[in-house]
Amino acid sequence: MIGKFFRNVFTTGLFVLFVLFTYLDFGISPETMIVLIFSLLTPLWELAGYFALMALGFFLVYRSIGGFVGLFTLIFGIQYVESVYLTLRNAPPEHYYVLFAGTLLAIPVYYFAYLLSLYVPSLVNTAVASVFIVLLYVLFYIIVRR
Amino acid sequence: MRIFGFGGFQYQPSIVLLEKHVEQEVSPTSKLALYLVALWVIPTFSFLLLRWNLVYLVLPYLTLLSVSYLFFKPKGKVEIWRVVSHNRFLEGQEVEVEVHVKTDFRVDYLHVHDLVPGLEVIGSPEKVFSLRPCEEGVFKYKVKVKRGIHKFEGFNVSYRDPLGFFSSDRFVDHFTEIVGVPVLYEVQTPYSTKGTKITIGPLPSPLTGGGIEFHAIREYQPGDPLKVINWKATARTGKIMANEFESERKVDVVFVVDASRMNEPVFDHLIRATASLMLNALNDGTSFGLLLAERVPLWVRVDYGKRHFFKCIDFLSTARPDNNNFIAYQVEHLVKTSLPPRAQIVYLSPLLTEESRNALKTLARYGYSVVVISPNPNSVYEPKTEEERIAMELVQLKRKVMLRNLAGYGIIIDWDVKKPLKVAIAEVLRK
Repeated sequence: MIGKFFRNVFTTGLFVLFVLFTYLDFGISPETMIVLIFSLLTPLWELAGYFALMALGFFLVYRSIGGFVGLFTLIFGIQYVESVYLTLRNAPPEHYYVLFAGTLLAIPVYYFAYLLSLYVPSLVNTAVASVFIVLLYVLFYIIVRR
Repeated sequence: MRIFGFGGFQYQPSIVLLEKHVEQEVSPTSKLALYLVALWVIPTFSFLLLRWNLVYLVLPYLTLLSVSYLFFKPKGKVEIWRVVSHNRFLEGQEVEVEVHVKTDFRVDYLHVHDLVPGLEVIGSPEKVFSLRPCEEGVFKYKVKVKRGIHKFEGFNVSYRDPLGFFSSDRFVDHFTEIVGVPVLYEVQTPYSTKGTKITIGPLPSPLTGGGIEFHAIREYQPGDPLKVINWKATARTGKIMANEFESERKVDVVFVVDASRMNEPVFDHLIRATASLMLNALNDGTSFGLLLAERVPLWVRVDYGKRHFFKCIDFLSTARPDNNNFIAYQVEHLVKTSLPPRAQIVYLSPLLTEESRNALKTLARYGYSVVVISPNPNSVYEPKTEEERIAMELVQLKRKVMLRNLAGYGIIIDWDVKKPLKVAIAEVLRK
């Protein structure tokens, strides 16, 4: 079992990474400040963590920041918010492994899709987006119905 | 460790099966809703701001959700049981309840909530467990017992995945019953135990002794014990003769409890007084019976001993004020059918209804000696304003007049429930 101290160190480390990547995305700006304030409130008020993620998602799209940095900012954001949840409940180490594996899986999936796009004929953006949205909807329908 | 319950029987745990083939009722949690809102911000704004190429930013959300969804389904069985040291407790007593949980598979989040039946809870009756296979988890809390029967029906059990996105909630049947018995006061006997109860042979009580006195000689009848045969009289008369005894201290006492709904404010005091006087009768070696005048009256025959006492206490523990407007009829019926002649009646009633007053008159009319223990319902209320104080005095005067009118029917002990019953009895007996 990992102690409370290590859990807190872990969560703090993730917070530092998250702030660092947010800074890389937006520099010192109102966007960074908003995300930072909500993130700092997360250990006291778990809902604030999701507000931070919502704000981050919006700002990334608004500023057209994607790619490796954008994706990692979101990954660290999710990891930070969820690790606060786990730390507050004294979760065992396995839960942290699940969190890291689950979020970092997005990187190979992203690069796989990227590689695939080099070899398949290019499709109209709207068509790809529509298919994606439909798939997303179907996935949530299955999950929520379960 | 094996745990044993009442009478040495092992506790039987309730088992929840969480198998793959069993249809699981899994529902999304509020946390998942927040997570999905955070996720949907990205596709929504990608479309609104025509930056569709950034939709892939939802990937970390999706991968984490998929891992949580696919790999964390409950499988195996969960055993839950509750341990309470006894099943009878004095009202007001704090009772420790232990809840044990055991699973045969790894559980990361198992929320167990014990459903407490309307009792004051000290501590928390719920806990979240994280258990390894075959590990046993325990949590404890206390309840403050009220008079009556309290039924613990079961548990609400909720299984969640590590990140708390989905939950499977179940109600698990597990029955435990505890009985809150009334508190006993120290009292003095408010009636004379000297009576003229005629009996054959020794009384089945540990306190007979000097109370038995010779009464008469009569012919021996089948069923009489051999030791009561008077051999001298038998030789003289040529017939088998037996001694008949008279008990001077063994009057039968019958407790009549008025369980009308009107008595609700003082009903617990009424029951405690009954139980206390019953214990007093038991210690005196007096035989006693009980009429619990609920809507369906409950009559416990006159008898002796501890077993009989506990039987009466059980009935008193479960007594509730009821819609009973027939107590006078019930008492009259009892007098005509089952009430022993020359019995001492202890009538417990605040005498609020006309029916309850008529019951007292009926008992007196049939020649019974009656002691009325009447908890004063006005003594329960504390007037807060001057108007309330004046109103209370008027009500109190009305009650005094009513008690004075009934004084001819028996000894009435008007009991201010803020004072000990012993004091109230002593005040009346002194007069």
